[in-house]
Order: sequence, then C-alpha cells, then structure tokens
Amino acid sequence: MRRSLRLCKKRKTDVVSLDLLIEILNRLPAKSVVRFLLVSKSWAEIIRSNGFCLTQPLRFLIALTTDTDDQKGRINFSFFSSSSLSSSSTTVSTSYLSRITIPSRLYSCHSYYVNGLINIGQIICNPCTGKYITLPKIVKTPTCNRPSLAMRFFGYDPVNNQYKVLCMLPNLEGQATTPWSDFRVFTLGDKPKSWRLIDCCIPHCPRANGLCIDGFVYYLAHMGTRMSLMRFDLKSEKFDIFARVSEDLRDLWINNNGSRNLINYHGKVAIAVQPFHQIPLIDLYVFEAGEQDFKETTFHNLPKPHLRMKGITHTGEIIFAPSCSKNEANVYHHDLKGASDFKKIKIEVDANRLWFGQSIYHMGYLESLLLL
Amino acid sequence: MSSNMIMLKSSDGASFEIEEAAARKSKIIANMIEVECVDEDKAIPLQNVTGNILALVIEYCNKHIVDDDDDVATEEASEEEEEAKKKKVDDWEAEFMNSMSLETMFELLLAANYLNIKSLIDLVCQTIANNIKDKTPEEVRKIFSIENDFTPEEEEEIRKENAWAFG
Repeated sequence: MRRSLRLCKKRKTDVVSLDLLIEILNRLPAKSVVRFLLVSKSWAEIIRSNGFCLTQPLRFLIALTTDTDDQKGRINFSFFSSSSLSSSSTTVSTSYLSRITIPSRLYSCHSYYVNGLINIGQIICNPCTGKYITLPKIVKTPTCNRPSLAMRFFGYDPVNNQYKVLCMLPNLEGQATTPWSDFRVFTLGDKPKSWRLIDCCIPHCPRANGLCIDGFVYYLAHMGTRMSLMRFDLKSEKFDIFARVSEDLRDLWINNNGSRNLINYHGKVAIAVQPFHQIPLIDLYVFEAGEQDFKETTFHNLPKPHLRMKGITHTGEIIFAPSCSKNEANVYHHDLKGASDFKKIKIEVDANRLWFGQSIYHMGYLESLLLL
Repeated sequence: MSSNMIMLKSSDGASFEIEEAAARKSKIIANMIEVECVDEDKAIPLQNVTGNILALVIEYCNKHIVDDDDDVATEEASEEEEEAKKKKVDDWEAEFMNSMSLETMFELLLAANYLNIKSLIDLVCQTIANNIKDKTPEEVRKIFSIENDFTPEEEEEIRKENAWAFG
C-alpha cells in the first residue's frame, strides 16, 4: 500500500531524537546511508561521526601476471582497480592502473596489500603510479646463510604513517623446530635503504601468511609442538603471543593439503582453511586476544576449486576470489545471514594481452599518491 | 485466574485499562509498579502519549504478552511449531505496521521510546528504515522536515566522492 509522504506538519522540533535517528540509520543498507549524506549537513555529520561510512566502499586491487617470459627471467604485473562492489551487482568494471616488469628472482607468490601499496615478493609497489622499489638485499653472514628462506610480512602503522616490512630468517641449523633468531625490519623511506636487526625474546618459528590490522602484523608460529598466533606491533616493534591455536586447527595445519590464509573478520584475525584440495569446503576459525581460536562457520559447496577467502565487507558478506584464473576474473560473495548461496560477480578486466596463471585480489583498495 | 488490571491515562485525557503483565512490557511502567507508586484506583498519567497512539501501544503489548505466555507453556514445542509461531507474530507485526502512516509510526516510535519498550522501538525503527531505504535525499528531507543546507557545489562533491551509492 502507498502512504502519504507529506507528514509531520512542519514540526518545529526534530521528528525524532538523535538516538532514534541513529537506530533507524543503523538499520539501513550502506548504500542508502551514504546517499543520505546529502540530506543535510547535520545528517552528514551524524553519519560520518557514527562510523557508518568508516569503511570505504568496497573496491578491489587486482594484479594479473601477463606476458611472463621465462627466458628473459622477467615477470609482468598489470594492476587494475575495480569500481565499488555492491551485493546486488553481478559485474564490476575496472580501471587499468599500471604495469610493471620485475626480475623473476624478486617474485614470490606471497603478496600483501596495505593502505594503497602492494608488496609482492621483494618489491613494494604503488599500483596507482606504477613505481616500485626493491627491498634491501639480505647479505649472507655466518649466522644468516639462507636468505632465500626469509619470511616477509608487510604492514602499515597508521599512527606514524609508516610502512614497514618484518623479515624473519630461520636458524643456521635449519631444524624445523629450532626457534628462529634473526628478526629485522625495513621502514619504507629509510636512508640508506637497509634492514635493522631487532630483538625478539619469544622463541618461535613463524609460519607462512601474515595479516596487518590497525598497526599490528599477525602471523601463526610453531612453539615446540604448540602453535600460537603471534602479534608484532609495528610502532614499538615488539612481539607478543596474541592467542593460542587449538589442537583441531593445529592438526589441520600440519596435515594440510589445501590452502589457508589469514583474513580480517570484522577487525578480528581469522583463518580460512581449506583442509583438502579436492573437497570444496572452507572452515573459518576466529581468534580473540588471549583465547583459543574457535570455529566460526564452515562453507560447503564452494562453486569453484582453489577459491580463497579474502575478507568480509562492511555489509557482512564474505568475499572469495580464485588464486589463479585465465582470461576471466570473477569473485564470489556469500551472505552469511541469508540463503546459503554463493553469488558470482564478474570483474571486467580489459586485458587484451595473453594472461597467465596467477591473479592477485586485494580488498579495500584505496589510491595512494605516495611516491616511491 | 484474572490478573491485576492497571489504568493508563493519555495526554488528551483518555483512560485505558490494561493487564499488569502487558503493561510491564514498558520498563517505565514496570519500574513504577516495582517501587509501588501505582495507586490501584488511580490511572498512571502519560503526558507524552496521545490516546490514539496509546491505543496502538496497548494493542502491541497485549498481543506480545500473550505470546510470551505461550512460550512458557509450550517449552517443549517442536522446532516447526516454534517456526510457525514466530511466523504468526511476524505476520501480525507486519499487518500492524502496515495499517499506519509514516507520521503515526514516528509518533509510535516516540511513545515506545518514552515508555521504554525495546521490542517496539526495534520494530518501528526497522519499518521506518524499510520505508525510506529507496527514497531520494529530497524525499527523506520531507519526511524528517529538514531543510537542505548544502550548496550545489557541496552536493556535487558528495555525489562525486560516493558515486557508487548514487548509481
């Protein structure tokens, strides 16, 4: 039924109090809230100051490897940024940002995105400008003789507006269970460009995949037979043990045949584990400070093998993206609340070159004009 | 067994009789009953609520107090029965809200807020949100009696910054 919109007879006072207005705005889809920024200056202030718009509209940074020429030992990346994703869209357009060519020896399959910059292997790149720098070389010394095994995590400290790379190297003996002892940091912009050794008094063996949230880098580590979620404070450069890893998750980790990656789940660290390559299922475990992780949910019937969970949108949808794709880029989203269905969103990429294997997707892309 | 009845009096002088159990849906009235400042023969005056709105509040409370009783009585109800019951309540609420204008909704919201009835606040806020979510900023201004204080340039800037939401 239709109702009259002419109401409230020109009240002198506000129709509802601020509390109630916030209650109503809270129940609106993000898109409506953003549109209502235009209602008035006071509404815009209420909306902005109550965190409704804190999360930027969801955009992706996409890096595709193109024209790889093994003979020349070089690898190309083309960067694209997507327009905003909304839950109702089935296609998303992209803009071409830049293209870089790097020596293959600097490449690794690990890639991190923080605050406008992307780290792939041993380079840090601003995809908006196409400029990149290489990380300082790790010089072989008697105590550090296997630089190729270095593990690197890229993070951003919003307090000091600094980008840092945490690098860790295994011990000389190379025993899997011997705690690592070489920890170093590179701060972007430091002159001369070099690693700074730092102390860590918590014996541990870092394991792959880090995640940066609000100035902290999180990663999983073995400590003897146990596992923990470690936290590195990018500001103070101190380590601490953030949470315990449950035996279930540890066993999954050890016997893992599939993939696992850390994601930002409503500001919490979570890990998405696909226990078996062949079974289209992902378990999501969530960590809380000082606690043991718990299994939050399981996603069955992934529409495609080799999907990675990328994160969660401000409207509560989980985003999945493939780790490799050819000639077509898609992401999938899953509304945790509603029907247990995956929806496919086609990302329209104008890559008129041949396009090979790896595709890298990062959520929440923001352009940075930082010059490297 | 008949429960206690209480009298409520609206701002425009209308009196309503309501079961104590239903009236307790309002935290304010429940508090009054707790501290025994309710005189059996005297009506509780509600200065901020008019008669037509109070009638709606009472209709809501009566409906929900019955449901709460049911919950206790049939604790072992099967999941399907629970579902069916929930659906019944949802349907009732949808029809209840559907029968009123946006203006009435705002008045009901203020009354629910004044009387502190959380579930009714939630219901009305959600209904208002559903009502306005597809409206233009211009329409929303009318609904909330708000003047546009943006210059065309400021408006354009917000549109540009948030183009995704204005598509």
